[in-house]
Amino acid sequence: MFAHLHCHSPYSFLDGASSLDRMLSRARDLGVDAMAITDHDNVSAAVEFCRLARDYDIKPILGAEITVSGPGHLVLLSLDEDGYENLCRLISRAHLDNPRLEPQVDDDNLRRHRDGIVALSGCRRGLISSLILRRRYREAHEVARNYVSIFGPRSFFLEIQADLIPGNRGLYLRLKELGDSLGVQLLATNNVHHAAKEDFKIHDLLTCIRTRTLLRDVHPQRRLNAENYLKSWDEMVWALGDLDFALYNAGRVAERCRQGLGLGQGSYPQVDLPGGMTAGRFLREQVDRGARERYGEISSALQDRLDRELAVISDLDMAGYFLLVWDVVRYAREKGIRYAGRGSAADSAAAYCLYITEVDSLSRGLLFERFMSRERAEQPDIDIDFDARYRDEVMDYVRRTYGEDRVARVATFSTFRARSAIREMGRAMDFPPDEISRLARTLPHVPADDVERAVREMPEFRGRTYDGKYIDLFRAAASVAGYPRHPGTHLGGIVISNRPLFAFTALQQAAVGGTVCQLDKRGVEDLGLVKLDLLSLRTMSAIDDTVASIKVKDPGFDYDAVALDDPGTFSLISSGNTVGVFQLESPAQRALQQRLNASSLEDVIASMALIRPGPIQGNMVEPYLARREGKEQVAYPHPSLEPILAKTMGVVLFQEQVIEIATAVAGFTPGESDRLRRVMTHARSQREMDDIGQHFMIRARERGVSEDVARDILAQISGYASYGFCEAHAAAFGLHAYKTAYLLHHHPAHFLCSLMNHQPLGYYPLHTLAAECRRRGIKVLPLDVNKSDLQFRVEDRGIRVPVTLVKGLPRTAVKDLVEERQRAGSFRSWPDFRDRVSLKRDALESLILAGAFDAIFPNRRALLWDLLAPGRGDVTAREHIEDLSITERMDCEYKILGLFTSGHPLISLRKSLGDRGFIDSRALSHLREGQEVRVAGIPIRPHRPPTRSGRVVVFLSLEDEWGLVDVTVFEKTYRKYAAVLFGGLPPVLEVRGRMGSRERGLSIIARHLNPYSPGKPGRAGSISRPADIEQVESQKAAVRTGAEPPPPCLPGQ
Amino acid sequence: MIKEIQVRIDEEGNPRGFFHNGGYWRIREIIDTWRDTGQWWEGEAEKIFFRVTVLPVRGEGVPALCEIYADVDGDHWVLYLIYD
Repeated sequence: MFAHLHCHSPYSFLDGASSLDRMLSRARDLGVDAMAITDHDNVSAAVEFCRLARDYDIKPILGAEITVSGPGHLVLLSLDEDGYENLCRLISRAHLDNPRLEPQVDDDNLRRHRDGIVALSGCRRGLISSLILRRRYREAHEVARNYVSIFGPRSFFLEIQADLIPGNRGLYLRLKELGDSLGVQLLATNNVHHAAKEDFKIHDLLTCIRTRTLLRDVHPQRRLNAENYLKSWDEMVWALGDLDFALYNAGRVAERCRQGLGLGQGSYPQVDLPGGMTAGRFLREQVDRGARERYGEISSALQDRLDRELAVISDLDMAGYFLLVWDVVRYAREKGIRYAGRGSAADSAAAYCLYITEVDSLSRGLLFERFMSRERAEQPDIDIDFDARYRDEVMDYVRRTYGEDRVARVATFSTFRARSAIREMGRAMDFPPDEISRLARTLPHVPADDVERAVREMPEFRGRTYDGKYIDLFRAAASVAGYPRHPGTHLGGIVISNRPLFAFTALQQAAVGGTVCQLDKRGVEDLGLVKLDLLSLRTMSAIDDTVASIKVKDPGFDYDAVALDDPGTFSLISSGNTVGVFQLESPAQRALQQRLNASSLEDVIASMALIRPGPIQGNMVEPYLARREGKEQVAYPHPSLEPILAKTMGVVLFQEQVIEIATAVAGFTPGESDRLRRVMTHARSQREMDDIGQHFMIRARERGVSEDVARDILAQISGYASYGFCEAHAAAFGLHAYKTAYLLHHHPAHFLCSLMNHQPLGYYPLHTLAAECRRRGIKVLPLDVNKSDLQFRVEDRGIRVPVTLVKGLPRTAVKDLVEERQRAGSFRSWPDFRDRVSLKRDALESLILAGAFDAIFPNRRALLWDLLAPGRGDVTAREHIEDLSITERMDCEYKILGLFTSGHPLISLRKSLGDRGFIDSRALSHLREGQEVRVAGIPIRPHRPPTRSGRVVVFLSLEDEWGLVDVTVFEKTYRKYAAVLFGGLPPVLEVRGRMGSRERGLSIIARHLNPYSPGKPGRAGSISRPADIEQVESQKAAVRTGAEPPPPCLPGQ
Repeated sequence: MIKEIQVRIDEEGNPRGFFHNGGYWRIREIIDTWRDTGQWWEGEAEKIFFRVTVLPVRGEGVPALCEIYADVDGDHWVLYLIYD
């Protein structure tokens, strides 16, 4: 048997340069019978490796190169399931018993978990080889003897490698002598780090990234040669010379190994059940109880639906799973933690009765089969959003209840994409940092193997020359496309097992606290383990805070009982003034709402699904709106579609409709229909699409549907393709959208205040929310040492900026300030503040520049002087010093607070803009379609969503002193101005164009986009983005160095 | 001590001896072999090194220890190092 028993995959994180697929493909070509993946201190590749190895008919052996105390490397291979579990326990102990990212296994643990494991002495960084290379032969002998005592002579091997490094011959002769003296065999590997020799360059670059060195630097971890690839039998024998027998020993060990990872063998953890009761019966009780509470009376339709769902749940043995989720939400409810189920779980009436979701699937006519079905026989996904502040508390409950060793966070693997690959490879290849940064910043979010095309075709790069060296860089980036860069923790995924997780994976400390397993979502699913998505949603926190704030004055307010047919709320939604509303605030949604004129919750739910790539690319949006407005007749390609599509004006909006159409037209079983939806949704291979399409056509014809009609229907649902929402998810989100719109309409100050307290949240930055406050007549009250608290706070008819917003101010300093004020009352003067609160000078400077003392001493520059040049008497003596201009004040506020409190920068530019024919956002509504227009503002989030035609359309907003202006940039203009939009946004953007169609919402079609430039230098101040903090520094420096009050020093003045 | 040399090789491509200082030096033993990719990013070719003991074919003498290398892609041989 030909076996490579020491191979690293990309899951060795920057120490493996070939994908598992490429490794196995080459192994098969070389006639390799067995292969072991031995990544550094992890088993992250295990599931993918086993799945792929089965396809390539290669025996997979699960192992790891672990770090042992010393420190040194040791290769462990699992012989069977027990061995794999022990391997996972060892790796877990290495991680959990040591500081994070410094795993290390000690001898005690090796001894405790040695069963079913074969150990190899490892590479030159193994303890034995490294001691021999340092001529410490006696110590090497002792270490080897120790390993023999731990693993036994049959399960410990001295490893030699065919990697043609200087000194190998001497080292291996010594190892052979050592083995002979201890009765231990040599075993040959090639310490494989890449599949083929030509992949070495990529491995070398990855090593540079890992060691933070440049190619021209010397580093001990850089490999001398390109020999650590999957070698053929002949190449191995040639390199090993007369020690080739060690290669046969590798084959013998491989023969002893049995695959130690059972895919699909996970099982569900058990909720504590009352004595003698089965999970199924207990679940039935809970569902019945919830149904009575939810509906009062259980109708026969409801009973039938629940019976049908519970029968499927029982047949698929998932009662335990449902009870687990029920238990989690029960805990949240008991603790008053706001939550809501999202996703397809809302298709289930049982989930609604268990209080997992808030969508009444029965009355909405939602399909349970979209959620789970006998044909699919897969564990369904249940995702729940929790108030972000308490989500970890819920996770802790799950850990405590089901066992620390049975519950862990799910891992994610950050992969190389275009920007990261160019940045990191470029740095290693010694490109000038500025050039690389500019290139990476300009790149769109594309895969790393798409950079060459992007640079060739995208207008952002026009005029830039990328020569051969850059082509090398682009190709190096392409080589690592999709490779895992480093492990992380999934936002909300946790895995729960009914037995210790070590049977499946190893655990380590998560950066966010708790433990994280070494498998990602796909790995967990393939193993058949239970995964729950317990997501933290800041919107929930903002809602909770808003409700609490409203209840101070209106104790009877009940968010869960707000009227779902409130005309004021629908009026707000239809106005498009929905900045801050959950899921309805993007420019596309705001434009849609102005045309949709929502009058019911159903309209809002439809909105959720309409502004999605699927419906947009499937040309669903315009027909939907035209039919809704009565401008186009509702038509159905086949009469059987009318009951399915009637509620969505004859267009396919929801994933459930795809299932129903396939059932009605082609007689698909629910499982077949769901397969159709999944093939389309996941954009799998064209062959798979063609297969299921052909199946659809045959079945439709058999049912008497004409060829043309069947083809038309297939085209419609195929056009819908990916990225569509399921109705259940749209319903769950739509409810939140409506209710947050209700809060914004009836309690705008409370709601916007809460949104500002939970940034980052939603679509817009803080300063845009502040502008929205002002547009609504809510004052954004300035920072004030006597009034600002730890959070934004509703105060009279405004919202007070908190002290915590001051960048660089330590949390403890903020608390001290507020506590001192509460203890001894308001600060009467600047000297009073200095006497009572001890702050570092930088913190005081920031407070001054942000305007915190304006109420007690309004001259910020004089205060700065007093701070930096004290001892010249009373600060009031400096009142003659010319204060900062309004532009300078706003500039400081923007940089220090992230918003403006003294006004808006466009106010100071308005005269200059007005002189040049620019109008403000208020005036837009008076313009007619097609009218030429000039506007300017702070550009917000230019983005390029997918379009039906495939052509590029850019959407962005401009924020001015009165609100937002939405701008659309079509491809021709985009090609001309791409560098302005995506090559580093200017602080203020000027847009010239024409008013778009009123029917499509109030938007400007741009023709020219340019950074703002004042007509004449000095006529208006300039503003800059918060990132340019050095400008603040220059202001402070000017104050420090000037003998007399310095002149204003902002750029442009 | 880097000097281009002419080398005789066996069927497997291993060096048997080389010409140096007007004489032919027979390789008595290959002590070690390794490969070195060098500065590949500068276009440098991969090299295969041999640490060998050699004896002059004519005349008596003690074996000398030296290192020679060849570019992997060609037959360009270099005497890289002679140990004193």
